[in-house]
Amino acid sequence: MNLRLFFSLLALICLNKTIAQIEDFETIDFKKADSIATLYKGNSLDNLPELVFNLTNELETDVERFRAIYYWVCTNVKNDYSLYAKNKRKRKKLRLDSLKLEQWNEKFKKKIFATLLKKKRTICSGYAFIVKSLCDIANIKCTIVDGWGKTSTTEEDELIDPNHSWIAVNLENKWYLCDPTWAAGSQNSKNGRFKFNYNDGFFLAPPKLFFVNHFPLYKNWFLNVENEKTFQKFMEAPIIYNATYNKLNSCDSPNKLYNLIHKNYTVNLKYSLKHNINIRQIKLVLDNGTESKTVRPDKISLDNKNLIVFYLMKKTGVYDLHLKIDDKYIASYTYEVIPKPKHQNSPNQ
Amino acid sequence: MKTHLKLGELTIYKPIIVLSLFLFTALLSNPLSAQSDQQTISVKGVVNGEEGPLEGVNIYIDGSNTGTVSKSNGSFTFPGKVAIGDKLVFSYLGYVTKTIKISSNSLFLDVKLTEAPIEVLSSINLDKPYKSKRGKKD
Repeated sequence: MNLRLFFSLLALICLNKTIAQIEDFETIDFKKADSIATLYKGNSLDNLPELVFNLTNELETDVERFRAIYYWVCTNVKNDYSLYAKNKRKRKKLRLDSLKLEQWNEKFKKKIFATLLKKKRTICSGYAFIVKSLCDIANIKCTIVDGWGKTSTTEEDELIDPNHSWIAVNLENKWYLCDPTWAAGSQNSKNGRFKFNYNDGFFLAPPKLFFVNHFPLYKNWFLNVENEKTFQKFMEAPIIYNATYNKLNSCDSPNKLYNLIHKNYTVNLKYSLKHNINIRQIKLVLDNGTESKTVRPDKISLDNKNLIVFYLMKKTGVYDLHLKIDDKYIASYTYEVIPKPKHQNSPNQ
Repeated sequence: MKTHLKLGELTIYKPIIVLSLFLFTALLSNPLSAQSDQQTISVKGVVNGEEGPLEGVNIYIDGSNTGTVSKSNGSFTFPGKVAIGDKLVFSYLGYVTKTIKISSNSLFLDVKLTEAPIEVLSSINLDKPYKSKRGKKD
């Protein structure tokens, strides 16, 4: 056994990073934790120990205590678009000057924490930091994970350097993933205004799904789930949305956003569902760049939460194909459909 | 007769035995006696960052909600006594949390907090439908 493999195995054993998600706590009702967090809505961040005491004092388990902290942060701290835009602009400008970038980071860090403390507004790093700070006080092991986050509007050049932070929390000797930034709500794409809209799907999220649009800077934070995943694969992955985290456990196939197929090829979109759904609520949206239309899948197979949606691509062209469930965008792919050459096999998806 | 005498002695000594037992039990369970084993001290101090005094640092005993906040000059006086062996936590947003174990020499604490080594990263989720860039994949 080579040394690298030995240390990798040792790290895995020590960190006990086995597949962990919310299903591990099916018997726990988080209503009490949520109602306590709601009771302290609007509390300031001036006295963190008091806030932690108030949030956790009446709860029995660590997962509930963590839930109250996490839920409070997600429903009280706003995402600040102007801080995001400023940070993005400056980081892009200084990315080749490491000294100036470090100076900017040090200066901006102070602004981030001052804004968080006074206005309860922040960006990814601030969300992760405040959850970790509150967990530290509650003696819950929590760590900030830096890496890349990819959304439906992320440009390729935004992913040259890490652009996102989330957290990993250790509960009952297992590490779980949460993204408080994206769970808190979303920004209005027109005016940049933030709207609270708590998304429970990012709480102890299914790791396999999480890594479709999160790529940690350090591979140990793949939690032994996607160890073979490369950055290239992450870049090529389909687009998933906030609502995806409420509906799916994993997004199985195709595992690429861009797919080249021949005309009259039937695409198979495969997923593992979190809960059973009404298949009538499954829709596809086909967009050829100028026109977007809702189409009916040719066939839907649902077997023990394993969903397959079939659709025959009849015409050549470039299409964005979106899967919608309950009228929410779940996954998007691009299909380039080319004429079928005679006497040749179809290209794989 | 002998037995009767013994019983009589027992009757005489009974209140003394009960009182002794009571005093012994009280001595064992008396919190004052327990406290005398666990020495307590008053703790004062000052908290500084890399650029001077830090105002608003949360100072509390680990695992409790007993605590205080540092003043504008970084000074603090911990409310009440702190037991030797207790852990005093200094927590301030953006800084690395520091824990100090209280000893008999902890009457005045000069605490220095260092800034948390974080990279400020930001990514927003507009949750808009994806739109591919046409012609890029040609």
